Amino acid sequence: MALAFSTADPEITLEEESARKIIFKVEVPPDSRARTKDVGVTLTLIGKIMADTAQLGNAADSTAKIMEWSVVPAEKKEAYRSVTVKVKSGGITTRQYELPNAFIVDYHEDFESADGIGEFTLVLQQMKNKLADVKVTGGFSE
Amino acid sequence: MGFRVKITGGKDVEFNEGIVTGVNFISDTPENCNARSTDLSVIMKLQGRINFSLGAEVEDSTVELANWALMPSDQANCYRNVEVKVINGGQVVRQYTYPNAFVMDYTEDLNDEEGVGTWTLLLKQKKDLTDKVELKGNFELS
Repeated sequence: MALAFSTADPEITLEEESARKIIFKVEVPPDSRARTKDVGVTLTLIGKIMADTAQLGNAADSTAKIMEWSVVPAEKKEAYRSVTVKVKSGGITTRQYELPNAFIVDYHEDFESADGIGEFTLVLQQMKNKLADVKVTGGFSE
Repeated sequence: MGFRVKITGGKDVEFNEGIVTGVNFISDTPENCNARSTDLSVIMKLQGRINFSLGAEVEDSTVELANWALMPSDQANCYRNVEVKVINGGQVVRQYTYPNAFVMDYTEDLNDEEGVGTWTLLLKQKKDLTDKVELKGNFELS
């Protein structure tokens, strides 16, 4: 199984080798008595932060761009981006998550001196008034 | 993966790979928001060792971290400039600069088993100056 992450405008692409884990979660308040309108869609992505030692100064991944996105203030248009995550398995896209108006809730970078690479955790949410635009598809070939 | 930390603005201190063992970059907004929040905190967690110097040959600069943590908020140098570099294979994978960082938490752990002590420092950039944080990634180590 491989994961690929991408955003449009400005473009960020993370290839299979840097994405490690994806959690797609639809949340509704647990205390509701009937189906609620208060639905939240959260996408959590955990991946690696690597350096390209063969080409000094070049990034092996685009995680630095996600770091820059994580501090964009809410007033700016770029705080919202279109995010696509593909889960590929055996030549088939088993899942494709599309969040056209995603914003960052939390972003962490963790480094340990004992590890050779770092790890990032990205928590995204779709803007709540645009929930109907979230698309989950799957089972098609490239 | 090695870490170099430079703190200026009070008594200037520098820590290298032998002292710092962990770096966490945290960009945090409230979880319960409908859209991107303006309430953005930029946090840094640093972990390291307290290397007791034999014969007090080298000054143990970590004591300055404890002094900084104890400083009352009415003093100007309770806000300091913190620069953290994450270095791997001749490349600076990350360089975080917080020009107005203050201490949120500081802990020192010492016991009779390990031979060295450990410290954990939790920092935050002053919230109205969050946009002054400088985040860079993937450039050649000079």
